[in-house]
Amino acid sequence: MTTVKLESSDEKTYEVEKEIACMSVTIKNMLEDIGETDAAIPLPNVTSSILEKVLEYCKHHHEHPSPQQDEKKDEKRLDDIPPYDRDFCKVDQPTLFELILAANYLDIKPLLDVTCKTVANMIRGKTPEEIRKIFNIKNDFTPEEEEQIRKENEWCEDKGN
Amino acid sequence: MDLQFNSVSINLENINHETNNKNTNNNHNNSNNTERKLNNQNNNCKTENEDYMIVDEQNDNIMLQLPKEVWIQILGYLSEKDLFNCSFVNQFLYTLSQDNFLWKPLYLKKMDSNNTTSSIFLEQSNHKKDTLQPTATKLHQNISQQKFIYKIYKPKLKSFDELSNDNNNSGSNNGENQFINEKFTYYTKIFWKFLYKERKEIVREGGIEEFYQLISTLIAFPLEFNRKAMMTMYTIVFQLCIMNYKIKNYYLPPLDLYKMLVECCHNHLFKLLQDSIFIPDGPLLIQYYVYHWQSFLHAIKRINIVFRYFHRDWISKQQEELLSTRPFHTNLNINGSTWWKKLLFSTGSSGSSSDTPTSTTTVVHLTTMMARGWISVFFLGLQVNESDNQTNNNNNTTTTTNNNNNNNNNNNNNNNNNNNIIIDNSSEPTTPTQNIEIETDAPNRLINSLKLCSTELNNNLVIRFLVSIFQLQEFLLFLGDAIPNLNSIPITNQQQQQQQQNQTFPINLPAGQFFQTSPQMNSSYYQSFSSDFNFNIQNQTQITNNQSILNPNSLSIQQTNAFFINAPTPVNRSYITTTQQKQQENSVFGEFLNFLHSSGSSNAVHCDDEMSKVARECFSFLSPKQQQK
Repeated sequence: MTTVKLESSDEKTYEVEKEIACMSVTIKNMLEDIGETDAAIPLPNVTSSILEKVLEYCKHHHEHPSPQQDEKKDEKRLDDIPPYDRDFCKVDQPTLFELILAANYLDIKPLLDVTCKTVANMIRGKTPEEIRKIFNIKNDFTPEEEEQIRKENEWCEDKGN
Repeated sequence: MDLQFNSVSINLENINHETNNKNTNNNHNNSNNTERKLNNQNNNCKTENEDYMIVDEQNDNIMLQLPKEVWIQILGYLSEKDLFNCSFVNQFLYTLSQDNFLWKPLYLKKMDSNNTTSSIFLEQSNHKKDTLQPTATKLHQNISQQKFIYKIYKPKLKSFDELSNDNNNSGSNNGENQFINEKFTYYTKIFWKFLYKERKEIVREGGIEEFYQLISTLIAFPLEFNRKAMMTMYTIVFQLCIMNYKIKNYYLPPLDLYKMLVECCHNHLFKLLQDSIFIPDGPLLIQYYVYHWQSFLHAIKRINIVFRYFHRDWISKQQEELLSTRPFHTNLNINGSTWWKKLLFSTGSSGSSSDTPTSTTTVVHLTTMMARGWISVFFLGLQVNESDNQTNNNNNTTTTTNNNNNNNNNNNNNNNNNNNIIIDNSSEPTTPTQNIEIETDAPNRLINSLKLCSTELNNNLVIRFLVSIFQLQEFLLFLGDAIPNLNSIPITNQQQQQQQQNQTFPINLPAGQFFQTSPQMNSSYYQSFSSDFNFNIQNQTQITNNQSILNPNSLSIQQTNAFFINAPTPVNRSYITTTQQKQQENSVFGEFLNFLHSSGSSNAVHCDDEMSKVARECFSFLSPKQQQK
């Protein structure tokens, strides 16, 4: 069983099975491009703590492949997160966003999906003020702009459902 | 310098950036520029405004680190309402929430009807699924799969594309075009949201959904429709008109209402057809048919009234407003009064009915449309269910001719329906051929039933059926609109003719033309059979009124009247006179048959072929002796 070495931004090296590492499309492509090497693959955008999480996720899903659900691919659902993934995403916000970044960078689609869904679930059903609070966002609209946006969105406001 | 360099790398076009940069921070109150400005700020904030960026990074560094694509994906899971909430959060999310990637799926999911036969207007269309479930037969599937609704927004999208191309080609180097370019990119950027908004407003404010429910109810149970419900329909139509008038930047394609009507009709007729499967052949089936035809007549009548109301308010305003205010109207295939003229008068105004494949949209008059729907769905459906062989009919003489007639009638009806239902020219050629194939293969259930009726000496039913066919034909030919079948069904006609020749009966019967005469003639003719024909006259007068109301600007009432008068061919007139005489002698049937023999080979209205066949069949049942000689 071949393994590859991954090096995080803080220069920790992890040796993982090639198949697990190749759940990341980025790594997979790179391996295909440059061929097998013994040298560690540097991942300058991923810290060790996050990389550990990512590898944990990949390992789990490598061992427990999720059933193919391509039929419902078009439907964007928020309530179909499997239990393991849901628990996996129960992390503090910075970690979650780091995970998203890493998943995006490493191109691990299932991880990206599940983390994005988690964030979307945080947003869903919230008022703007609540969203600001959750993500610690500052309101940078001028009153005029706010009024403008309100006017723009009038057609949805009083929908009632 | 940094600014421009940076903007190149960003998605926005150079021109926009230049203009935006010039305008930055100056146009806070300018609504048109707000969005682009926001976008610009977001994109340029790192280079342009150091302080701003630092504050952002301190407060929500996590958010800003996420690339835009990721945010789009996150927001893609959200509903429209959540998107609106997001747009209030801050400028970054506001910009994101306008993205086409978010709104296009939303729009397609909720509003687009490409995948299903319906639900353009309806966000919840569950009630329709029950009726639309096709039964096992091939015919049903074919019918349900026909495109009864065409894509409304295809032309719109097309125009947008064209505009964008034009602007990209010409405007990139030309300073004068910058404004247009800006404006255009603004539209394209939020195009899908724009569309979504349109639909939403139409659905909500216009009460389209309710209108749909009412229309379907009206079609199914015209006699149970009380005054309150009628008034509600009027009110909704009025609101729709107001809406359309108020919101000038978009138009609700008037065809939408027709499409909705067609859809309702289709659903209703389809349901009838399904129910008819459980009805045994023979008198019961004929009874079923006649009963529902009567109720359908009432439905047509009332829907005519509703739509007349709609025409009054809508068309006039459409004519005024469309040309002046709609921004992209020139690229759309709906073009003001001429379009309406075409809609209302369809091919009839062109004079020569047979040679008019015509231009963009061929829409038929409401009455004709519904009548054709009746024919195509219900009549054709009844025909298909049976297991009799047409081959037998073709070979045999008297006994089988009855079957042939019935089959023919069914076929005619089906063809007519197809023409009416299909509003798009593009879809017309395909559907009729399908129907034709079905017809030739399928045995005729109606004919069988008629035969059973005649054997049981239940002539009353046969007569009533015949009358219903006459009524149907009258409706079909109401505007002298015999053409539609020609466009769509050349194959069938040939086949029919061949069949006819084999049978030694000239099959091209001008029966339809016969009924196309003046209302008085029709009524007298009908009265010879039964008593219920006042309805026909009422309908005719009503529709004529409708016409005059419909096009106040374009065509004078006199013209329409003249058109009516001119419609019947000389052959028809002669036939009418003969029939009158014969009526006095109580030998109408014989005369009718004679007429069939004499004029069969001459030019006839093709769409009536099959119906006339059925009619002949009825006649033959009623007076077998006449037929034999």
